[in-house]
Amino acid sequence: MGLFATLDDIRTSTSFLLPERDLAAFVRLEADEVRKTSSAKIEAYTARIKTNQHHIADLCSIHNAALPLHVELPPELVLEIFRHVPFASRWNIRLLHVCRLWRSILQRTPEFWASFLSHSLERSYWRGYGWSMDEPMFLTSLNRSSPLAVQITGAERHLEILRTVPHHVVRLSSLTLAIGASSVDTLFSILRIKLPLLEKLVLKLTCKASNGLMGTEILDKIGPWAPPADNFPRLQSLDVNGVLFPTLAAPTLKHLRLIGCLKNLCTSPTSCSRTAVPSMDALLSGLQRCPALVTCKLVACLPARVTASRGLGVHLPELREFCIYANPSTTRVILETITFPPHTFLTTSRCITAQDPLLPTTPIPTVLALDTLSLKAWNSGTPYQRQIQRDGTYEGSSDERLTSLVLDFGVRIPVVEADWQLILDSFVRLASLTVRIDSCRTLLRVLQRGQPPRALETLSISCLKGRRVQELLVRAIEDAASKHLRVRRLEFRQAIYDLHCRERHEKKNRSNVPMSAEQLSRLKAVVAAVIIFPEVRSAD
Amino acid sequence: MGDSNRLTLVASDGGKFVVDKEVVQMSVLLKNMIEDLGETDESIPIPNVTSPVLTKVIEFCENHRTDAARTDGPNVDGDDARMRTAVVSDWDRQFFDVDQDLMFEIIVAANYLDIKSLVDVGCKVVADMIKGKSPQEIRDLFDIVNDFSPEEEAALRKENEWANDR
Repeated sequence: MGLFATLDDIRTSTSFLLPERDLAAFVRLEADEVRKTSSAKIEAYTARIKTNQHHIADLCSIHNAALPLHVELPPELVLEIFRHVPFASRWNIRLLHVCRLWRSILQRTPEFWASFLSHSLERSYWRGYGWSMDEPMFLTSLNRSSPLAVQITGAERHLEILRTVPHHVVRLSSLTLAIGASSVDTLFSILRIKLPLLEKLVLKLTCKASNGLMGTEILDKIGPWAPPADNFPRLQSLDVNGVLFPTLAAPTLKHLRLIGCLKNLCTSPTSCSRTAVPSMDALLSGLQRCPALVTCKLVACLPARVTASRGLGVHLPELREFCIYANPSTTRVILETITFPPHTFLTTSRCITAQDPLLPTTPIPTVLALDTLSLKAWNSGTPYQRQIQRDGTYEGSSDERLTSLVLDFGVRIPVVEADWQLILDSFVRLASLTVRIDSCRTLLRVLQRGQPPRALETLSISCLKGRRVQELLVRAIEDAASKHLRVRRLEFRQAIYDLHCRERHEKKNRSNVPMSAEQLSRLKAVVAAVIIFPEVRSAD
Repeated sequence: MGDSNRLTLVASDGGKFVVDKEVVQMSVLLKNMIEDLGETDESIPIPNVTSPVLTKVIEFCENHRTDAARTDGPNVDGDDARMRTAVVSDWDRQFFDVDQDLMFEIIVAANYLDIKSLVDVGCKVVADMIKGKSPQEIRDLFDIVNDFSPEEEAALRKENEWANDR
C-alpha cells in the first residue's frame, strides 16, 4: 500500500514547492523507503546548492576582476596601496577578507606576513595578551613570510614551535622571549642553530615559572657550550639576564644590556641573584670578547658582592655610553676596571644616604678621565641628613678633564648649598652643567654668591618648583656675567620628566608662573642663547 | 627651432601638450627620453595615457616642480623610507578628488611614466580611503562583491575572531 498511495496524498502533506518528478518518487513507498529516498534527494539538493554557491562566488570574482580598481591597477600597484595602509597592524588581517583577489595578492606577499607576524606578536607580548595567535596562524605566517627575515616576540610556547621548524629559525633577525628557566634547554637548542641574520636578541629569564632552579642550575643547563664565533655573525644587540653572559658574548655586539631578576618575574621577596652574572671575572671576560661595544648597560645584574678582578682590565675603544646601576662598592670596582674613552657618556645611579654620598669618597681615575658624567640619584625612603658629603676629595685634582656633568635628582631630593659648592669646586673644568631637580633655588644662590667654574658655557636647569625663582635666576646669571663667567647657552625649564613612569611624561607644576618679557630681555643681554619653557608671559 | 626649454607631449588620443622640460623631468621615463633625444623639435608620444589623464599628470608635476629639486639624487633610504615620508597635502587631496576611474588611471599613468611622488601620493590617498574600514565597508567603497564561498567564509571568521581579540 505504501505511506502515500497517490500524488494527491503527498501534496496534502507538502507545500507544493517540490517538482512533480520528486513527488512522484515517493508514491507507494513504505515509510523506511520514504526516509531513504528523501535523504538521498536532500543530499543531492545540498550538493547542487554548494555547487551553485561556488558558481555564484566565481561569478562574483569575475565581477570583481572587471572593477576599475582591478582593471586599471595591476596587482603590483594594488600591493603598493596596501603598503601604505600599512601592514604593521593586525587589524589589517581584514584586508585579506575583502575579496579573493586581495587575499591572493597578500598571501603571496612575504613582506605582509613578516610585518604582520612581527607587529602582532610584539603587541600581544607587551600588552600582556599572552598567546593570542593560534599555532596554525603562527606557522602560516612563518611560512608565508619566507624567505624574508622575521622578528619574533613571544614566550615558551613560541619557543617550542620554533624548535620544530629550524628552517624558519635561520631567518630570525630578532628574537625577544620571556621564558622560565626550565626552558633554557629549548632556548639553547635553538641558539645552537647558525643564525646568519640575527641582529637582536632579547631574553628575559624568569625564576617565577621555573621549578625552583637556582642560578647555578641555570648555568649547569647552559653548560660549557659557547656559540662558535660565526654563529651570530650579525648580532649587534644583546639584552639578556646576566646569567646568559658571557655565554652569548659576541665580537659583533654593539649594544649590550644585562639585567638581573625582574621584580615581576621573580619568586624571591628580597634581592635575587639567580639570573645575575655569575662573577666579576665572567663579566669582564665577556666584555673583553665585545670590543665593538658602543653602549653598555648593567642594570642590577651583578652579584651582591664583587671583588676586584685579578689584573683583568677591559678596554672598550668604541664605547659611547656606559650605564651602571649597582651598589656603590660594585660600581666602584666596575668603574676601576673598565677603561673608558673620554667621550663616553657615563651614567650611574646612587641611592643616597648619609653613609653613601653622591660623589665617591675617593676619585676614580677612569671617571675623572671622562668628558661627561651623568649621575642619577634617588633617596632610600629613610630620613637622610645630608645628601652629598663634602669630603674635599675632588678639590685640588686639577688633572681631571671632565667637562660635562648631568645631575638627575628627580624629585623629592633636596640638595643644600654646601653640596652644590662641592660639585662646582670639584669639577673646575666644567663647561656644561645639566641639572634636573625638584627646586633649583639653592643652586642659583651658590651660582650668585660663589665662583662658578670659569669654563662653564652651558647651563641647563629643569625644576618642578619654579615659582618666583625666575628673578633669582636672572640675578644669578647677571652676577656671574659680572664675574666674567661666559655662559653662552641657558636652558631653563619649569617642568621635569618623571623618571618613575614607564612612559616618560612631563610633570608640570601648575602654580608656576612663566618668566616675564623684562626678565628674558635681561637674560638675553648677557647670554647669547636663552631657551625658556614655558613661554615668556607677554605682560607683567 | 622652437623653445629649447619646452617640448610637446602627444597623448594616446592625439591631444598635444606643450610643457616645460623641467616639469616633465619629474618623470624618469621622460627624463631619459629627453637625454637620449638631445636637442630636438620632435614631439614625444605617450601612447598609454589619454588627454584627460595627461592633463592631470602635468598639473601635478607643475604643482610639485620645486619638490623635484629637493628630492633629486640617489634615494639612500630606499622605498620604505620614501613611503613613510609620503606626505599628502591638502592640494594633493583636492587633486585626487575625482571619480575612481580617473584616480586609478592617474596612478597607472604615473607608474608608467615613473613619477614616484605621484604614485606614492595616489596610493596613499587610496590607502587612506581603506584605512580603518571593515571588509564590507571597503567592498561598498569600490563596488567589490563578496566572492568567498561558505567554506572560505568559515576560515575568514576564525581569522576575524583573532583580529578582534584585543
